Amino acid sequence: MLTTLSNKSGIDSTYLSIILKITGIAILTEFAVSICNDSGETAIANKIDLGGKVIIISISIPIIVALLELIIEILP
Amino acid sequence: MHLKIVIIIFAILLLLPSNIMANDSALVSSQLDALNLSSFIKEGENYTKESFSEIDINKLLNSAVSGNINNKNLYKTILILLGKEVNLGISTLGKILIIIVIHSVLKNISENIGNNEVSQIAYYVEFILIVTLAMSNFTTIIESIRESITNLISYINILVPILLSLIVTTRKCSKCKYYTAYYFICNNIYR
Repeated sequence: MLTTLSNKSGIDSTYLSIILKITGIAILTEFAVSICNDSGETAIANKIDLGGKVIIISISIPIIVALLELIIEILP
Repeated sequence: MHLKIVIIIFAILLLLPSNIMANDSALVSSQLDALNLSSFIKEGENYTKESFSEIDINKLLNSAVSGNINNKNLYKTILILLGKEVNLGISTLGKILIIIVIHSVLKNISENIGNNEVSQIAYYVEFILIVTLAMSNFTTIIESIRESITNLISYINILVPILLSLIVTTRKCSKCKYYTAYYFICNNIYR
């Protein structure tokens, strides 16, 4: 549904796939962190949290680059 | 007292506009050739080709000189251009609305994850994407505005010599409405 919407509106579908991936990773990380916290393994929970953050930021690099390129394009 | 009244009446008579149209086409063309306006018009057509492709400026000027100007074609073209701009604006609005719908769906999913930092980062990334997509639409608008301003300035720079030559030929330099032309010239010299 989202892909159809993005195609109709002329939005790049790669951005949409990145967003879906990020949301999925966030859900999984959160799930793993809550399980570790429940079992008393806070150190592992913190590591999973950090790993999730790193993965999300590395995946979102194309979006950040696109934003920066747009800002540079607008600047005279 | 009488002298003052006479001077005032004379001044009013001087300032009154007098529209005299030329009927002899051969005379008009010879006058235009003498002023060498055709080269300016040809240069000006480079800027009007894109927007006013149907309008021939040479014909328009000739008809304006003889007083038989037909503005209908000009108005029609302006209306078409306005319609195109409105259409572009509506499409931009539609794109932004679709982005908002996608964002609301994703925000709903992100909110259900929890209030941890991971979900916050995911939300910020979504927000950056929305800003990027909205800005890409505005970038095209800004670029088109910049281009049209450049074309407008170039066109005015071409028009100034024509206006000057017409002022000199008709010898109506004292009329108030021509002072705008002087301002243009002063600005150009200053720049």
